[in-house]
Amino acid sequence: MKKRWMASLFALVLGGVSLLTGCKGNVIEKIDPNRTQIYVSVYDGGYGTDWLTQIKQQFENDNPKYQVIITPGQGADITEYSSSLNYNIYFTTTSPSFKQLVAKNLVADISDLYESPLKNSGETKPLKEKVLQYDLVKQAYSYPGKTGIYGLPYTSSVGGFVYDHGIFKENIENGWLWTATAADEEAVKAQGISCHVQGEYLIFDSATKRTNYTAGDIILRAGKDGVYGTYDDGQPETLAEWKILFTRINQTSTAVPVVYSESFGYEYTLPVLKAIFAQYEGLKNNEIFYTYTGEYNGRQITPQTGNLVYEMEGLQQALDFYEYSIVSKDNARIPAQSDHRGAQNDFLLWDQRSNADKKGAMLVEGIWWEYEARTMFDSLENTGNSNYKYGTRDYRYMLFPEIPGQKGIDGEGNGTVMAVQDSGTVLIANKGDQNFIDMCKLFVSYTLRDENLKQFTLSTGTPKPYKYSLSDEELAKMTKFQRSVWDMYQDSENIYILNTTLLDYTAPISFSTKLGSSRFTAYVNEEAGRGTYNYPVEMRVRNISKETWLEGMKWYARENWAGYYETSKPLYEVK
Amino acid sequence: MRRRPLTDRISRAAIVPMILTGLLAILLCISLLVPLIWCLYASFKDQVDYAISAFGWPTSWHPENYSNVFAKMLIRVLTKNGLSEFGLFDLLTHSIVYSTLSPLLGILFTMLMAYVISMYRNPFSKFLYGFGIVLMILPIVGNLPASMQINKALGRYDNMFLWILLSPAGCFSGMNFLLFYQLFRGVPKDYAEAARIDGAGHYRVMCTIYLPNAVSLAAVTYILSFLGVWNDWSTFVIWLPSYPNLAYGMYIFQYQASQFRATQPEILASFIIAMIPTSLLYLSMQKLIVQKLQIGGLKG
Amino acid sequence: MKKDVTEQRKSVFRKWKESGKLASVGFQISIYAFPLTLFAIFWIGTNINSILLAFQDVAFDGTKTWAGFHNFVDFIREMASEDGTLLSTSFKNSIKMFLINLAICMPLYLLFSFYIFKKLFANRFIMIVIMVPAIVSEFIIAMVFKRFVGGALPSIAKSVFGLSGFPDLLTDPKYTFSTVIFYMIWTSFSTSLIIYPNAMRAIDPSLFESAQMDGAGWWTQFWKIILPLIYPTISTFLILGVSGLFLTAGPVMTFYMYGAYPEVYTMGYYFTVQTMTAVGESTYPFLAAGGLILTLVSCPLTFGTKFALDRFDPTRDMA
Repeated sequence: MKKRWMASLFALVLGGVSLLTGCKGNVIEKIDPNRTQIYVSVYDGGYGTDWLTQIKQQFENDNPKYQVIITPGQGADITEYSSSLNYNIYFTTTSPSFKQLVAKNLVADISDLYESPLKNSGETKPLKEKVLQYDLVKQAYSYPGKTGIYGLPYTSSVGGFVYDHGIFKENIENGWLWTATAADEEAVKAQGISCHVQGEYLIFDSATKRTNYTAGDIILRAGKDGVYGTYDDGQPETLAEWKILFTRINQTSTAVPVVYSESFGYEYTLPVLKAIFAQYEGLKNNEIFYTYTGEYNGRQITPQTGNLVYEMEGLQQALDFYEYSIVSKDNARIPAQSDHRGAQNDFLLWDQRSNADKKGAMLVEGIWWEYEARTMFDSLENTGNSNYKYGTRDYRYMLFPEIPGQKGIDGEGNGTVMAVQDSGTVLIANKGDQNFIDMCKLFVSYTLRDENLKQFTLSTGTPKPYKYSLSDEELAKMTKFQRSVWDMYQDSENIYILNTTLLDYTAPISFSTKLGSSRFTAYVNEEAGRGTYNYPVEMRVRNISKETWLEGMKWYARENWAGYYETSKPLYEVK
Repeated sequence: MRRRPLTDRISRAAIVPMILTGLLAILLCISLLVPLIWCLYASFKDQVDYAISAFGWPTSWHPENYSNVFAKMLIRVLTKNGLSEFGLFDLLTHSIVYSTLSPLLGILFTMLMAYVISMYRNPFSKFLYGFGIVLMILPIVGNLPASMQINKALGRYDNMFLWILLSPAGCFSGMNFLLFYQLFRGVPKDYAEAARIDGAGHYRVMCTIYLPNAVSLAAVTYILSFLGVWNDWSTFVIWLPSYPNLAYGMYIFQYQASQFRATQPEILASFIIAMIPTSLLYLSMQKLIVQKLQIGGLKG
Repeated sequence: MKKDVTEQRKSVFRKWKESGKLASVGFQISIYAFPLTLFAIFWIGTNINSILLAFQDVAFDGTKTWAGFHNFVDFIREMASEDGTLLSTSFKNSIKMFLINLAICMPLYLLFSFYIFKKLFANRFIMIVIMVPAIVSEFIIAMVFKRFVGGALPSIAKSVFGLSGFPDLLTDPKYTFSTVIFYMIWTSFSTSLIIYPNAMRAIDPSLFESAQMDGAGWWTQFWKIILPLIYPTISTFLILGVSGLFLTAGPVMTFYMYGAYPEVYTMGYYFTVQTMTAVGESTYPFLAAGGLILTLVSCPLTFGTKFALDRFDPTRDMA
C-alpha cells in the first residue's frame, strides 16, 4: 500500500515537472534583445487594450530601437506595488496611491508634455489647450513642494440614469416623454427640421443637419439644450416634471422607475448625489466643497475649518433628490441578484420578462455599461430578439432636472452637471534614466494624437477628456447609445462633466486622508440603526431619514476633522 | 472489507441520537450538493435563459459553454519571455505542479520540526513551541514592500521552484504543526530508549520508529494543504506572475468577464472544470485515508 | 593557564560525545538549520519593520518618525468607544463568532466524526460530500451561495410559499450576521471531519473490543475511550480557535470584498480592509499597534487555554 501511494505521488510530481518544462504558455510577443522595451500596463476596466495595438505599431515604426509591450492590468491596484513600479507606463484608475507614488519620487514629471504641441504629430496647439479642464488637471497632478505635473487624464466616465428611448417612445401616450406641440412648429422649422402636424403631435420628415429622428417619428420637446433632435429631447426639465415622470411610470406600467445593483450600486449612485449638489450650488461653491478653501455665504472656509462645508444648502437639496430617486422603495428597486448584471437584466430584458417580474425603467450605470453587456445583446440576438442586436437600442442618459433655486453650471441657473464615476490616469514611472522617460513620454503623446483619441472612442465607445472631434461617418460607426453619450460630452455649453477625483487631488486633506472616500459617511445615533455608514444608500437599507443622515454626516465630519487636518497639515505647510 | 466484530452493535441508548446525527449530516450534505447541482445544470444554460430565470431548468442545453471556456479563458501575462498567453491546460499544469510540490515540502518539514520540538525537550525547543503559537496570533500589517524587496533580491520572486523550495519558513507554527506535535507527544518514549540502547542513531530512531506513526496524519494534512493551495490565487498575482494557475485564471475570468466576453453560464462551466481535478484527487485519496495508513508503527 | 582551559574544553567535549549529547545536538541542529534560516530571512527580515511601525508615525511621503505609544493609545480608545465604531463592532463579532463556533460546531464535529467512525448509514457519502467546500474552492461555493440566497431563495419563497418581498439574506443588515455565521458553519466541516475520524481510527481497536466484552455501550465508548484518546486533537483545535480569534475574517471577504456591512465586521476582516484600502501608509502604524495589542490579549488567552487543557489532558498519564 505504502509503495503504491508513494509511487503514484512520485509519478504525479514527475509528470508535473516535465510538463512544466515544456509549458511556457503561448508567447504572443517575444522580448527582442536588440531593442529597448517599454512596458505598458493597461487597466482594462471596460476599455480593453485593443485600442493601443495600432498605436504601438505606429510608435515602433517611427522608433525602431524600441519595443512596446502591452499587458492588461489584472485588476491589482498600483497601491500594492507602491514600492516597485514594475512597468514603465500605466494606464490606470485614479486612486489616492498615485499621489503617494509622486511623494516618493516614483513618478516622472511630464509637465513639458503639456507645454508644447505633440511631437511629430503635425498638431499645432500645445497639449494644455487640448486637455479638458486644464487648470484643474494641472493642479490635480501636481504635488505640494514639487514643481512638476505628474499625470495625464486617461478616462473620465460619467454615471447616471440610463433609459431605453425606444420603450419610452412606446409610452408617449402614457406621458413618459414630453412632446413638441403644433405651437412649436415654427421653432422646429427654424432649426432646419421639416415636419408636419398630425393631431396634437409634430411628425418628423427630414432635416438639414444630423438629428436622432427618422421620418415618421413624433418630435419631442427640445430638452434643456433647446435644440431639437439631440440627446435630451423629450426629457423632464424641472424637478416637478421629474416627479411627474416617476408617477406616470409607476401608474402606467409594472416597472419601477429606477433600478440599480446592490454591490456596485452603493458606489454607482454617488454621482447622482454629487451632480445634484454641484448643479444646485454652482461650480464655484462645489469646488469649495471638495477643496475646503474659499468663501461661502460670507464665511471663510479653510482646510482647518473644512467641516463647515456640511452646512451648505446644496447637501440638503441633493439628499432630497437622492431620497426621492434612489432611496425610496416606491421609486427605485434593487434586484435580488446583487451584482451589476442583476440590475442590467432587470433593465435590459424589458421585452423578455413577463409583466409579473419587476422591471426597471432607468438603470443607474456608467457610460461603459452597454459595451460591458455586449455578450447579453449577442445572446438576445441569437435567441430570436433581433431588435436587441448590440448597438441598435436607443439608450440615452436622462439628464438631471433643474432644481428650484439652482445656480447651474453658468452661475445663472442653467445647465446640467454629470458626475464622473470612473476616472483614469496615465503615469510614467520614474526610474532615473531621463532619456528613457522621454521615450515613454513620446509614446504617451502618440496616444493623445487626434487620430488615436478618435480610435479609442470608436473602439471603446468612450469619450476621452480631450478636445477632438468625430465626423458624422465616424459617429455612424458607434452605437446609438455611444453617439448620445458623445453628443452629451461635446455639449459643453449645457453639460459640465464633474470629476470629483481630480478635485480631491487638489486638496491634501482629501487625498492624504480617508476623507476622499468617506465624504458622505454618516454616524447615525438612533436606537434602530446606530453605527457609522459609508454610503447614503444605507438610508434605504436601514430606514434612516435624510435629516438624520445629514446630521450624521455633520457629526462624523466634526468628530474626525481635527484628525484629517493634523494628517494633512505638513502638506499645507510646504512651500 | 473487514467484518465488524459481532459484539459491536449499536447500544440502545445511542440509537436515537445516532439517527438524529445521521439525519442532520445527510441534510447538511444534501444542502451542500444543491448549489453544486445547480451550478452544474445552470452551466448548460443560455445566457438569456439564465438572466430571466437563473434557477429554472434549462429550456435548451448548451454544452458548447464548456468548449467556449477553453476558447475564451486565455490569460495574458508578462513573463520573462515576453507577453504570453496561457490557456486552460497551462493554468492547470501550474496548479498541479505547485499544489503537489509545495505541500509536500511543507508537510515534510513541519513533521520534522514537530518531531524534534516535541521529542527533544530543552529551553530552545520550548521557546520555539511558544514562539510558534505567538506567530499564529500576531497579525502583520503592511509587510509587502519589504517582503518584495527581499524576495526580489534573492531571486525568489517569480521563480516557482525557488519559491517552493524556500517556503517552509513558518513550519513550526500553525495547525499542521500542532497536530504533528500532539501526535509525537502521544507516542511512548520507551521504545525509542530501547532502540537507542541497541545502538540506533537519532535519524534511525526517527525514521523507523516515529515517522511511520505519522504517515496517516501526513497523508491527511497533505490532502488538506493540497486543496488549500489549489485554490490560492493571490500568491500567483503577487509573487509568481509568470506562472498563472487555475485559481488565478478563474479569478480574472470571473471578475473581468466582459473582457473575456464570458457569459454567466460559461463562468459556471469554468467552475465545474476547475473542480474536476481536485475531486478526482480527493476521491482516490479518500480510500487511502479510510484504510488507515498506520504502517508498522506503535499504538499508544 | 591557557592550556588548562583548552584541556577542560576538550574534556567537556569528550564527555558530551560519550554521553551522546553531541550526537543529539548535532541531530537537532541538522533539522532546525534549514527552516530556521528561512525563517530568519523571510519572516524576521520582512516583518521586523512592520512590528517597529507600531512605534512610528508615517508621513504621506513615507518618512517615518518616532511616535512612542500614541498609536497604542489611539487604538485602545477607538476599540473601547461605545458609539458603534467599526473597531468595537469587529471586536464583539470576533468573540461572538468564536463562541458560536465552540458551542455549535465543536459538538457537531465530534458527533459526525463518531458517526463516520462507526461506519453507520451513508458514512462514505457523508465523508465525500462534506469535502465539497474544500474541493470546490471557497470562492466558487461563496459565489453559488450568494446567487442562491439572492436569487433562488426569494423566487422559491414566492413560487412555493407565495411570499413576496423575501429579503436577500446577505444584503439585508438584519440578517447578514446570521447568514454569515450560517455559511461559516455550513462550510466548516471538511477539515474537522477528516482529522477527527482519522484520530479515532488511530485508537487501538483492542480497547473497543475489551470494552464491548465488558458490555459497554456506544455512549460509554464515546465518553470513556474516544473522547479521552482524541483529546489532544480536540485541544489542538481549541488552541487554534483561540489563537485565531482576532485573525479570522470568516467568509466576509468572499461575499463583500472591501464593502461589507458594519454588522458583519470581524477583527480579521477589519485588519484586511484597513490595510488594503489604506491611503498611503499613514494608517499602518495604528494597525500595527492594534495588532500588537490584540496579540497581547490573545497570548495569555491562548497560553492559558493551553495550560488548562494540558492540565486536564486524560492522555497525559498514559504517555
